[in-house]
Amino acid sequence: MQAQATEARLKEDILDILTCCINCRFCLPSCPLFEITQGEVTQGASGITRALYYAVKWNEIDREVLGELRNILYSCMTCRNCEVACKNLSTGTKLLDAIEKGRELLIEKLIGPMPKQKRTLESLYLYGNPNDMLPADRQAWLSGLNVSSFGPETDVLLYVGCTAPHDLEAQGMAFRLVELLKRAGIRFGIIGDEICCGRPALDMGESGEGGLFEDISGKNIARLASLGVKHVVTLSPHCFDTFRNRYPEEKMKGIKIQHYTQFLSDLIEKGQLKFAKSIEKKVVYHDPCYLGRYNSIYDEPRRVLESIPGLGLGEFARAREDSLCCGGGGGRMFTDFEAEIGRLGNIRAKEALDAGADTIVTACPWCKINLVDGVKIAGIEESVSVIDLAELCMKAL
Amino acid sequence: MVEYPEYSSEDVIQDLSKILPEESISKSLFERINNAVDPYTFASDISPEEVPHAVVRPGSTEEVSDLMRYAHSKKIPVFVRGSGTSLQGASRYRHKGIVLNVSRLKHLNIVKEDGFVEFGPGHRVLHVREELEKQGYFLPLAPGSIRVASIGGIISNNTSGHVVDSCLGKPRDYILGLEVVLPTGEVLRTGTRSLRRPAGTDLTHYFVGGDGLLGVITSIRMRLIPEVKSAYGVAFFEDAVRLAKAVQRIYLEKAPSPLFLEFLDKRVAQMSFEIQGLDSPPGPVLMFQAIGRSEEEGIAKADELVKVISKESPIETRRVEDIEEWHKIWLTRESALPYIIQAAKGVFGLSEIVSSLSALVDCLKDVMNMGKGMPTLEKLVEPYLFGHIGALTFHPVFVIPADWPAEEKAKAVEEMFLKEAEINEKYGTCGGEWGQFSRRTPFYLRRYGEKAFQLVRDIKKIFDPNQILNPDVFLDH
Repeated sequence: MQAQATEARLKEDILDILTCCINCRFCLPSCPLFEITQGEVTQGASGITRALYYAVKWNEIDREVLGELRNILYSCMTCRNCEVACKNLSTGTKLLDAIEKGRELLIEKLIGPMPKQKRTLESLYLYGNPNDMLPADRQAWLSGLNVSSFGPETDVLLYVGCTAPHDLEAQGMAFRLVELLKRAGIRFGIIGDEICCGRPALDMGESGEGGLFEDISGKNIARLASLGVKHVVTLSPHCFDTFRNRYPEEKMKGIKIQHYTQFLSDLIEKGQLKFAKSIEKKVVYHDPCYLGRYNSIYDEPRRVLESIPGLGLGEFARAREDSLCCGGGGGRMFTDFEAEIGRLGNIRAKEALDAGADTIVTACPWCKINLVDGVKIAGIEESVSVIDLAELCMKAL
Repeated sequence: MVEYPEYSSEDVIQDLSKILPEESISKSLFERINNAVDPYTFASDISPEEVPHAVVRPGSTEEVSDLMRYAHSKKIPVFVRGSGTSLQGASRYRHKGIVLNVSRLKHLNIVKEDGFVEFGPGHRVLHVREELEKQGYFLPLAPGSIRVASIGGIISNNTSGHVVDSCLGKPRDYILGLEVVLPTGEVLRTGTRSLRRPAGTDLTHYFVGGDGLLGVITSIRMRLIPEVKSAYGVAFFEDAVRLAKAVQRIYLEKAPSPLFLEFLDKRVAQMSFEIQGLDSPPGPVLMFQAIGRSEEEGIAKADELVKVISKESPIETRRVEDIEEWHKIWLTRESALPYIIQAAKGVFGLSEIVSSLSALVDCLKDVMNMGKGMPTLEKLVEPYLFGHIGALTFHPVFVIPADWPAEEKAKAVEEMFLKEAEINEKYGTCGGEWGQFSRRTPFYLRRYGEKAFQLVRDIKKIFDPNQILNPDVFLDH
């Protein structure tokens, strides 16, 4: 009975949101999916949500058809470009809210998530991370950072997230950020048995009442409260957005949430972090979606870059609000899609070359992984390298 | 009404698979649905029975030809579709059939030596503009939907969007020739490869502005226009009547025609200027972009326009020299419709009313009052008003509360189109952007008479004996 009520509520919500969409299609050219698929309407923005609208409106029950809908719905990288276009050019429909609810509906119907993502959810449930990493292994890795546990002697909690302990490309980000914070004299600590923020559960549709996200976020909120944390700095923009915008506001009251680019920018402004070495590179900054379009954090990372001597800061042709997604959001790091014939990481890598840069700087573990791959696959490793902002800062100390 | 044989979608898809490559056929239910729905104000939900048999996205003219031959032989309706952005139903899917989506017909060759560009119909207009600009050329088309509208639809509709006709004309003035697949499958190549356009009968003109009734355009050859330099201006008025008189004066005093000459009424101007962080204007706003071969020429034209406009005693008129300021001013116009809809929290009914030059002031008053005497429109707030006043066009916008029942909303839209027809007929005009048929068929009949309408239908029958291409676009009249 409860499941039926949940389904009915989700359907009502979806139709309610999508009734505002007028099919003007102004969002389609903004959708990155369009750039890596054959350009069918269902491979982009309102094409995705219109598919959802009709599946709900017609009470579609055919599992094959719903499977088709799943492939469409889960391909969205939740980059929010469509919503920006809709706000600027049309009705301001909350397309991503509908997509999230659509995924939740497919979970309720046992159609979602994508087959490979099922293991991700299992891992989250069993181990508290999406990467099938045993908690003991993760703890061992975290202890290698040589950071004390958060406690009375520390002011800031560094929330490392799940990607760095698991992925070689992201590991360096965590190590360099730790070094930076130590050099700046910050009293910070970590949670030795840290668990996921819950973002992948949200992305895959486990966002409902009593669902996996509620379970994980509840555990984290209790942990933050018991430790008396008042200031969290995250490595990943996805964790940052989750804590800032998806955890219940009343439960997070009094806790300052920052992405590390904001924190570094503050340290530079206060004179606690100064760069001595000149770095003669021409860089472009790749705005991660969950920092930029989700949280309007565009200036802070650029301020950090501008403070590094010798650095030439250029811009991608598509920068800030127009930034091209790397393709990693919305749960896509944990699955593949057959319909895709290209990769956004490759396109972005070539765009860096077009912008006259020799280095792409980013501030997101997933962006870094995708861009490093992109540079390799595009065959431009000798011309363009990818580096995280924290790693670049360390080089300049 | 034409009768079509019934086929199962499975059979049609099976047949199509024999004549077309797999990548050209979209069988997905959701892709088929998406290719059958239109934007508001024509949007009504489709039913499961109305879902197209298939969406075909041909990769070449030959594939288009093969599809049309098949559809002609089986008498299956084919609906040609680009981005599906028509606001009055020109690309609407109406009858169980096949959707021919042109999105893969995307060749683009700039042939500088011959002074033309050839392109496929599937490009977004903005993409063609950007490609031309890279080579130092200018695209004389500027629809409001430039980011998404496909250029084949624009050519079929013969619209240049916001552009003032007396400055640049219509697409027809630039098209040198076309490649067209007839509804029977034969391929036709019209026009010339020269910059010297044909005198006398040129079939090109049947298809440019042919409302998609006579054939499927698969390639377009267009004259190259060297890039232009722009200068900008703005004028603030006490009232809209003065503003309209200033526009008339531009024509009467033989001032240079601007590329764009746009108007926002007081309510729209104040809302949009505030959103853009500009000082709130005291009344309606006029803004323009003048063009020339050189910067000096553009500036000289803009100065002349400022001089002529100032004779109608605006509160202020000036050339805008700060490009950042101009971008903001232009955005107040470009984003006027979303600002209205989002602020009013409703759905909208958008109309297109064109005036004759001498009646501009009277027409403006009629547009302002167009809700009066109409039972449903009268319940709404007065229409918001903006438009391409330099092209003598107004776009009144009615905001219909989102919680009104669907029938009530439909009534409001119907009354709006009725009133649009009444005013356009009164001034002896017709729309200049959205095409002649679909929603406007009754107006066409009223405006041009039974004989003209019958001739159009007869012409279609010659090109399309089985009436399979975009059928019912006459809405059964």
